[in-house]
Amino acid sequence: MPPYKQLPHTSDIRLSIRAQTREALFLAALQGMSALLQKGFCDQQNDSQPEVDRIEITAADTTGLLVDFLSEVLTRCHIRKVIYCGIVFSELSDTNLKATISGKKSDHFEEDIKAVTYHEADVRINENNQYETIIIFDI
Amino acid sequence: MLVPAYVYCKEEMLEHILSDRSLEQLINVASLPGIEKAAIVMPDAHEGYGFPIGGVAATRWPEGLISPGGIGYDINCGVRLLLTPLNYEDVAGKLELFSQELAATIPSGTGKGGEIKLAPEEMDEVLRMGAGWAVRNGMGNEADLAMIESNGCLINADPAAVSEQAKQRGYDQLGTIGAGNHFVEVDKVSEIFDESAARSFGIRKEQVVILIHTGSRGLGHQVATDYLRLMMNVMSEYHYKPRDRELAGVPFNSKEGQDYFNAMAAAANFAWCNREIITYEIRQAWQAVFNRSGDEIQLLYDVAHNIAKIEEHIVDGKPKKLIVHRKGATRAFGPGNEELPEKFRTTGQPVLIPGSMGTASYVLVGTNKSMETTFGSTCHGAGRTLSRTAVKKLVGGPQLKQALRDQGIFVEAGSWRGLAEEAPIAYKDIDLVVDTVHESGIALKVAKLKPLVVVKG
Repeated sequence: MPPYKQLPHTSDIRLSIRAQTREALFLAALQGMSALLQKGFCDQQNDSQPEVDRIEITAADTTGLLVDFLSEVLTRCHIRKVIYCGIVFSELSDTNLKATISGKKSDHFEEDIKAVTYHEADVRINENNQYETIIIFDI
Repeated sequence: MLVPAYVYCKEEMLEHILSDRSLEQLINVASLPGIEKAAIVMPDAHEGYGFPIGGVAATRWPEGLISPGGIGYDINCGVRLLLTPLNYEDVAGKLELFSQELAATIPSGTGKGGEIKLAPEEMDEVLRMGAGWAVRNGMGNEADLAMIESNGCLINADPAAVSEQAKQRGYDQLGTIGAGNHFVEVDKVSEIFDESAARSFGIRKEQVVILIHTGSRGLGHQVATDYLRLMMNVMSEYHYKPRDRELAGVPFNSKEGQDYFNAMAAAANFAWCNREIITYEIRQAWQAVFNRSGDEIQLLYDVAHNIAKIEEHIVDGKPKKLIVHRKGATRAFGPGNEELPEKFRTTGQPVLIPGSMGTASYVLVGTNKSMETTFGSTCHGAGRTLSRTAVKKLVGGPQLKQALRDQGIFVEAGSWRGLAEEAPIAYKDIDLVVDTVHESGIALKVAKLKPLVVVKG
């Protein structure tokens, strides 16, 4: 089963994200957002120079950390015209994230994501011992 | 709840409003610190983030809560209506050409930048001056400024309160529409409901008019994101714990509250400058296609529907200064209000309500009933009822374009997918929404507009 899937939403985009570990959850959320910006982008062979960025986030809890992380990545996507596909963590706790994200330049986005929202976001461990959450993107 | 929650809707629309969390969100709003009189939702309501879309709430000045969730991510998303001197029969033969010229002249689409690349010092001027910056730089008409809510400039705007990231997102976005439900639409006036108000506004049947619907683009989205995150981290210092994270807020008179209010004003100014420059682009396209001066196109009015303002309203029989949050709600001040340009003092302000592609849009007039009951506010549009995924299963972009063409509507869209997502079936019946506010007296119908050309991202 893919780590993210789109669920119905009247006006925006709702993603359900599941993964075995917290690190995998953050990666799945990143790739889910990137797939909205351009479907299949992260699966394509691309010979262009990789774009690498350092990112540090602090939040009150893991849910806030994930939403703030995605928001920060989205901001950099818009400013640098890059879609990010990979992440290497140097630290990931309930409230702190330090990582390097990597991606490639893109000449267009398919979806104009205004914001990553906290609405319905709730990172938790389900009965199958997986991390899961909903993320809604305002578009 | 600290105050009552009021819902404006007809019985046949209630099912839509009850189908999502709009009312739950309205109840949360009715519990905000410092809220006055009532939390209100308009008939185009749907579930938003923190506040419902279509929501109006006023908190006590100066210590009441200010919440970015009460304004929305697209700060000063709004509408302006341009009046041309020509009638439908004068332009009918050139509408397709005009649609193509508009699409070529006005950049639209996801993340698309425009021709204008601001230097950092120019960005700060835009954020301080709003629409006046466009006029000063030859991309707008001086006469337009008086016909914009707040003259197109909130004076408390502070560029220093706007993050560098937000500014970077805006450097190349002036004069662009963006994507989603934002558009430029050429309409003809198909029906007049109030001859006297229409005459005052300079509107007549069969006249060609042009609607612009867009906001502060990526700059405004970033301001909202920045301050929501900031407020989430500091609100416990003010002993505020909302029921919903997106209701994060701080006292208006706190340092963070003032910074947000001043950054929001800067983003609102950016949006007004954006709509002024899009007007300039439309005037250029008009000149190119019709070989007439673009300056003959007059601005009727420009209104925000995502904004917070300091206003005085009557509460418990006494005038009170309030922080009025409008999120998907249009200011609808009635006759006699000193905020309005002289031209509208006897009628009340024009209220511009865009519908969906292929349906209708409306011009209404603000009333004193809205001043008494809804903090001088009314609805803002049709409101979605179908998800983007659901509507794409029902209609494809090429078929929709042809169906609209068969109705005499020329559409220029950045993508088939984006076009299909905005199909009219995805929206509430705009006639019902407008009839609701008309019958309740919080804005009165003046004219109905039928689309001829739609340009969207």
